[in-house]
Amino acid sequence: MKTVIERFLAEATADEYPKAGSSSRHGSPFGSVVTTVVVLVTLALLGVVAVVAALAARSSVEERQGTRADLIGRVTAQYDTVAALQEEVAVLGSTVDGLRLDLIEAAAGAGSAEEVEQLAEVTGVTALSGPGVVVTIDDAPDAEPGSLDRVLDRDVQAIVNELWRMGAVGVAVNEQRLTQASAIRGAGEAILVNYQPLNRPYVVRALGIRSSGTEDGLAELLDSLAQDYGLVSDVEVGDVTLPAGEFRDPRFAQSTGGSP
Amino acid sequence: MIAIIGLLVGVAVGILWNPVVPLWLEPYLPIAIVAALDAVFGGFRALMEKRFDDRIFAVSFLSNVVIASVLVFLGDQLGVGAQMSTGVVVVLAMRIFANAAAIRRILFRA
Repeated sequence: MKTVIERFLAEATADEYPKAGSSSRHGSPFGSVVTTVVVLVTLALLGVVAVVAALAARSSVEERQGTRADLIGRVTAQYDTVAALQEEVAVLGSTVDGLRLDLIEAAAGAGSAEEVEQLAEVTGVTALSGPGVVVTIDDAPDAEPGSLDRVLDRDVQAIVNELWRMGAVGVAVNEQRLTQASAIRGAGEAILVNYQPLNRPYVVRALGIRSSGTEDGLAELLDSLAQDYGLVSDVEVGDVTLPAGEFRDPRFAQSTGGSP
Repeated sequence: MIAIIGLLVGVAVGILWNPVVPLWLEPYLPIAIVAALDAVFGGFRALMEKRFDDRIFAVSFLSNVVIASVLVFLGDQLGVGAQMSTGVVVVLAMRIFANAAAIRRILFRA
């Protein structure tokens, strides 16, 4: 009694040639020119199709790689464009700021202009430069993706908070100026500041601090990060330049008036 | 011998000619090749067993290729193209192995 699978296999692998000894058109195999030609043509057909298929498969791979390289090039070009435009924005922004201050001074007197200037510095909407410290922090040299030995958003937060506590007037992380509406948060593997992903190493610039933080909590914090997670950090005192931040109007949730 | 010559001629023609395959045909080429290989192994086995027939060989070659391609095409149209390709390849590979085993038994008596 054959099982279903055995019967299926026997049927599927049955061959199409007559059993040996039964009637055959040719007395001996390869006995005629026709046989030779048929075999030759059939096998040549197989060769052509095989080569064509192989070439087609390979060319599609090459095509994909070409497309990929092309896309990477376009992305890089767009990055350059964005960087150039951002520089232009910064230049125009400082021009606008100057003009606005002139206008305020003309309309409301020098006192108002100074007040506006101070407020702008505090809120982080103007570029600033002056003495300060630069804290550089990077992942542990052998950190694996997803491990705690990488710099996390809360490490950057702790450093920034320490710098504020030490009396920083303005802080920027990797060219992202912190304003009142800035958040430092993690999104997957990346740290976002002002919704922009940052690349390591993380450079925190703080203006208005003159000490390197040895007697402050900063040194303690960096030491503990180095000991616990192997994070590599460096503190430099010197002149820093902070880019202007973007002022975002706070948005408030509004009731639609309907019942919940 | 003639088979090998034919194969080499075909490969040479394919390389020299290097035709552009229409995109819609591309998915069926691998299936067609497996189907053709089945016919070739079947023919070779029949040759070993001294019951080769050129007419059956040619017909089985062409019908194998056409049926396999049409099945996969139908599968594609019905949204089960990948499964259909798998099924066709499994059955054909099974036949190829069975034929190869028969050839091996005749050639090496093992």
